[in-house]
Amino acid sequence: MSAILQATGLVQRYGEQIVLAGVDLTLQPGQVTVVLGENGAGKSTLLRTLACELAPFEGALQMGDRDAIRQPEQAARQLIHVAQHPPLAQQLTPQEHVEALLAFRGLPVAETHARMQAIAQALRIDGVLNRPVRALSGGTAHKVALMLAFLAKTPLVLLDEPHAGLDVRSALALRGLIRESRDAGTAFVLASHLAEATLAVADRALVLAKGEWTLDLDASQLAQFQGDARQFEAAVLRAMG
Amino acid sequence: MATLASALLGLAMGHALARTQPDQLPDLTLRLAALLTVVLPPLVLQLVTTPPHAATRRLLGETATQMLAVSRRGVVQWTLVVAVTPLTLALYGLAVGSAALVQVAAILGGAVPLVAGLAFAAMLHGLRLLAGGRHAGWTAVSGGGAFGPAEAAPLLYLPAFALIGGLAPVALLTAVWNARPEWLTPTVWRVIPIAGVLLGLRFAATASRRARPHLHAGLRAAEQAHASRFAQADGLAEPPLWLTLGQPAAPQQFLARAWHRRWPLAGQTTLALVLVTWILARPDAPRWTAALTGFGLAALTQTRVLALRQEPAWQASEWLGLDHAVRKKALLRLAVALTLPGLPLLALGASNAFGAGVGALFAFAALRWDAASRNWIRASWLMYGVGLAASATGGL
Repeated sequence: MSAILQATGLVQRYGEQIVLAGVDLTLQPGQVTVVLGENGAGKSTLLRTLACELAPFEGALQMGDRDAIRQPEQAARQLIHVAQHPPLAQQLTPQEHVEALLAFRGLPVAETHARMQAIAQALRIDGVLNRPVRALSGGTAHKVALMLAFLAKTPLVLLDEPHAGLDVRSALALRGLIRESRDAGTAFVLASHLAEATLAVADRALVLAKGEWTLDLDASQLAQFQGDARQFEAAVLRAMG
Repeated sequence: MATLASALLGLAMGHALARTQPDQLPDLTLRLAALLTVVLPPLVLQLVTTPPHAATRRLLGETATQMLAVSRRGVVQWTLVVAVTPLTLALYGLAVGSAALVQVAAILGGAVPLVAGLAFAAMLHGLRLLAGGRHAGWTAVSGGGAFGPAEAAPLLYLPAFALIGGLAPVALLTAVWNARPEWLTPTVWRVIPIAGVLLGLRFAATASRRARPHLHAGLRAAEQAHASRFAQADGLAEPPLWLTLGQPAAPQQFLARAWHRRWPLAGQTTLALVLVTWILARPDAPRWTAALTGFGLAALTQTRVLALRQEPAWQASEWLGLDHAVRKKALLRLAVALTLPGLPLLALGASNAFGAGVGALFAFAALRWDAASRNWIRASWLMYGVGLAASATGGL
């Protein structure tokens, strides 16, 4: 199976501070990769780099068979990145965002509408689909952004702190939605500092510290931690240093 | 801001009158009266819909829907039409010498502010009830119906209503001028406007001081009410056809919808400003004044499009997958559509048309830059104001 994304030797820095010091990453279809790390470890920077929003200082980034550094706009259409503050149009409603998504990405109308209802019900936002985003709470707006990400049907979805502001029921629904999309072949990268919350969906877990991977666990290694989240957290904490 | 504008206007008026020869007096006074009656309401209405005031309204919990519901019901537009039209008619009547027209317009112009003033008093009374902790006050104010958030929204337009209420003396003055011109000697002409402005400022200060504690308490209650179950979203406004250039295509529609909901009165404001320019511009004023006015107005209209690029809707369109080139094309179309309300400016003369053309070209060029667009809008307002003042006074 060919990789959806292949990053090699990515370097990012803010002034003198090195945030990513030559990071490698390969993403396969239908794989959920969780990136863990402390606040300020560079997780969001990594996601922005993968989303072609930030050009790396060094390294290569391949999206399918396309050079994402030379053709960032074309590459970015292969993914959707839900940042911690996703850019939603404040005056428009979630429903209007969905209509725009349909038109801009050429998605099938009936199927997308049906899916929207299902996702909105799962995330419990079906009652606010016709309210302007500015009238929604921060958590609800975050759920709207997640719904749009699932509807976009891109091969790659990048979620930055997806559990932030979610209640327990919604977090469980999110887990189910990620699994469903993964089974359909979508690749995910989840950046989080909550090890336990991501363990249930992860096929691969990476810990980012001082700009490098300090822990890399595959699905079989993660399976050993299932049912014992404390040990997993302890391993992650050790890797964070 | 409105108080400062009034004060500056009063100073300018006194200064201009002191330097005016008696035979020029009626004409200049007519223009200054027009300036008072026509310029300020649109300006204030514009101010209450621009970011600082929108932020205040958000703080109060007013949602975009409620703002738009108010807009849809045409509270602001009707206020403009009902209050400004009689005054404009009065001025026109003065120009053509029709006593009946002036009197009818003056009566209308006086009646509307009276009604607005009574509504203002009723609202203040309701807010006072709220300050006393009796929530039943909402019902009392509304006359028995449910006084939900959408109905509370007009409270936020009180500054504009109060200003229009304050224009009643101007309407009265025009009526007196027409009926008994001999009463209005040059000395009276010097005293009345200055005294009017000073009294108005005094009234505004007193009303503000007395109302402030009640307003604060009432607005806190409004905030709670807005956060309640009444905060339903319906009646979201769609952009007018002229704004989308009749194109229902999704990119144009998405941006136009966001733009229209963000600045719902922009088209009307441009039209109002063209009307103001038409009333105030002196035929004998130097050409550069007309060109500067046209430039300022065109730049003002077009740089508003730049402001869209600083709105989340602009980033959202990219995030949702809108192609870069299509997005730029949609923005350009929006900019072209926004020139439409300014087109009557072209009929005002070659100098205006030249200035407007240069201003539009300048702003189109600026679409390529990432500029601090709000400052550009302020600069455009300033250019328009200076051009208009120069045009109205014959070159300052």
